[in-house]
Amino acid sequence: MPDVAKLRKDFPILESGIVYLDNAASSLTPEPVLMKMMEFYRDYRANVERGIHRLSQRASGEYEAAHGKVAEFIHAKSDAEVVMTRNTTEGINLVANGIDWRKGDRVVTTLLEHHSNFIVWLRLRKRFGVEVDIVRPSSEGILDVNTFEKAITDKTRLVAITHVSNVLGTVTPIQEVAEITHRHGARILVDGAQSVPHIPIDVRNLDCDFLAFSGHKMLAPTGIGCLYIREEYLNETEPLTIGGGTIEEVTEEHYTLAPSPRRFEAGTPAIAEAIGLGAAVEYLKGVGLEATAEHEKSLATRIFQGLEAIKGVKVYGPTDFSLRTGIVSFNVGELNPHDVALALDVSGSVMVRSGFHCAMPLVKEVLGARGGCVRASTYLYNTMEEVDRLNGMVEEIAGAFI
Amino acid sequence: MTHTFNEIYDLFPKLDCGLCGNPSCRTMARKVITGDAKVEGCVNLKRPEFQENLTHLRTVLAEGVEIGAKGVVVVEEAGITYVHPCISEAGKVMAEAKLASGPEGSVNLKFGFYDPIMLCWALEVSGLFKDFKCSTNLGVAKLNIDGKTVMVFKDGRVNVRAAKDKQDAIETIRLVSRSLWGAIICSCCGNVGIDCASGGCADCLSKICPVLGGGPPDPTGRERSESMSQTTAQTIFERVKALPTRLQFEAGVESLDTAMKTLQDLGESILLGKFQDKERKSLQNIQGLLEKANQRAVRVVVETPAIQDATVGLILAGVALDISRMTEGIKTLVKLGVPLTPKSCSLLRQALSIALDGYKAFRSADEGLGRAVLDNYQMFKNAWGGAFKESSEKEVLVAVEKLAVNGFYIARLLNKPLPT
Repeated sequence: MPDVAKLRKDFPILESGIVYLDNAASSLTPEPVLMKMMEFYRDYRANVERGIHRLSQRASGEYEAAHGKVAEFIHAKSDAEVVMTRNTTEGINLVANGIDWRKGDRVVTTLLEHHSNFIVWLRLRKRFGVEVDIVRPSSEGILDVNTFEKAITDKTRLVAITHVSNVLGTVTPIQEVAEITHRHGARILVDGAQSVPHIPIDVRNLDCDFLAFSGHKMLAPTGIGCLYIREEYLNETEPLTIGGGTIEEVTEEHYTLAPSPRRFEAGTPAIAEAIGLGAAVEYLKGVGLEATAEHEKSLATRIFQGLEAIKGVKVYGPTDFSLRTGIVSFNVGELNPHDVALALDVSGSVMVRSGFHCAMPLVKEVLGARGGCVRASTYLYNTMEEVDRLNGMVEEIAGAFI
Repeated sequence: MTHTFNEIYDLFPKLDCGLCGNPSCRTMARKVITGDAKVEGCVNLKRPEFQENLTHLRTVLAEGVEIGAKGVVVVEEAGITYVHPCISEAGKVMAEAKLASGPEGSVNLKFGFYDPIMLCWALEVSGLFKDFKCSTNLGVAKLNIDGKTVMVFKDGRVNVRAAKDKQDAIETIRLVSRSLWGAIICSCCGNVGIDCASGGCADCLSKICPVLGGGPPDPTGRERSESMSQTTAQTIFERVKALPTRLQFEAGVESLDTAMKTLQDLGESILLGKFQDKERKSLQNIQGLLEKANQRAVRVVVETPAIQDATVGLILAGVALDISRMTEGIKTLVKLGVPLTPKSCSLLRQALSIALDGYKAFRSADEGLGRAVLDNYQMFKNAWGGAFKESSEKEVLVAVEKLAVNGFYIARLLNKPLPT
């Protein structure tokens, strides 16, 4: 168990008494991360990679060190495999635009996806004549490995799959899907937006070729994310943008791109944010993801069980929390989920998400929640008292309005 | 763990005795939460029967108060914040609005926006809404207006689902906003609009109460442009004559007249030591009459075209509230059902005459009588204070005092400035 009371002190925003349960949308940022970013602005504010003076040297050192910290965090082989992006969405788009698609190529994705890992592939249909095969999860949001055996063929070039559903918190069988994918000579892109912040990740163990994730969901600032690219594909993946900082040599006739990660990070990057991400990763390492994952799971289990016991409340996803992380989605009778979320905020200062959570096909078609749903998502700083407050408030809402 | 407004309010005696200088325990609770008042200011909490409450209250306050209970500092635009086609109902729209009072919007709402208890009360007594459900704990109401689902939140947000169009949503929110005018908490004094309209709030005796003068907030966020001059409540019976809602108003006043007459009879029965079924029946009658008066009052507030004129509806509801508190005092005496000591009898006699004269002064716009009531109340209060210290029947004395203080509030209304 992490020492929640102690680490909450690093999040002064919590002192006002708010109950922040919208972590799947964005997490809070602890003081050490903010201080590390402030240090950049106050002590060594300069551009990276280009200057010889001491500030630039320091900035470059810290910026590169951030790559190293993230690489270690996800157990990448080298720092070169870690590309700084703006967010998960940009990472996915980089992959989508970095492959030399041919007509007739196929992409396999699932109905469990966030729009960012879904409409990107639908666009390929229009642009390159790429076929998209969509794997459906069960009504509980579970993906069956056997359906991938059928969906993935020798025509498949890419399998794009989320690691954890942002609506249900269900963990998908990445290793098994990766094995099928590689057997067919295809590559696998994993949307790690909801997994990297919450469960220990080893890219080598997962055997994925690309892994995209966002900093802002893992205690880091907004505007910074990462794309892991397996070493073998670093040179053949076309950068999304090129320009300053990405080249080795330029003549009137041609240019040579620099080795990764520079080749992918055109222009002046989000330096402070990247350094902040490095600090966030260190913070998470310090607390220990194994412990926080267990903590979040027990919080979510309590939410799930508490809500399920309330008459008129529908909770989505599997009961078995061995397959889930700290996310719970639900509806209160026929109440509009936005009204429920607003009541939670106004009446209890409990902050949750409502609507379709950027996963309209899943919420509408699979879960059958035509008006959307309410989502509570936990993180390392949440407490059992907060969970009880949420459950108590939902009980109050259900009792009063349905 | 922090505590909510209701958790704190629930520990107060809820006698609304006015002895702390606030017309209701809700106002006192608000002030205690913000540090504007001390729990020790409540005379009743010091009585042995509330000893546990007092101890608990001190603990709870020391543990901290949930931010929602303290009111919110929000800097946001008032008005319609969102209009979007309904996903589940084609051709309909959903709209969300943020209501805010005062020209500065909701810049600093020290005590919150709507009083959660008055929010539920005001919407319920209006009898205007179908499928009405409300939670005072949450400060959230759900109601139906012509097939539209409306959710009202204590921070002034109103969501309308399945409206025909934006204009329809605006009209719906306007209706709700007017109905809830009296539930708005004044950021200056912590009282609600209805406290001001009842004469219970002492802070705006020489100026127009910001809640009454500000009018019910408009969902378009428009500020009221009418220049504000003032008159006093003495003129309300004159003003009403020109209004299309005159009949509603007069019917409401008629109910109050009957309620006061019944109350007088009840008071006299108690002085004679009679606590029979007849008296209990009379209490029920008064409740019914006050309900009717409140319904009329809300109709006047909602249907009177000009907002300045609509204040007469609030005054009607305010006086009904005073009489309702007087009735609670009488009810306590009936419930206790024991003959009063001579000292208490004498105080009850005085209190009854203050209550009746206060109402009479208001009805006849008799300033002289009004002033006499204010003086009599001060005399009563002195005698009462002495008696209360020594008395062993404190519950009786608090009930007696409620009669007097509410008569005093009504008399105070006479010189209350109103917007014209």
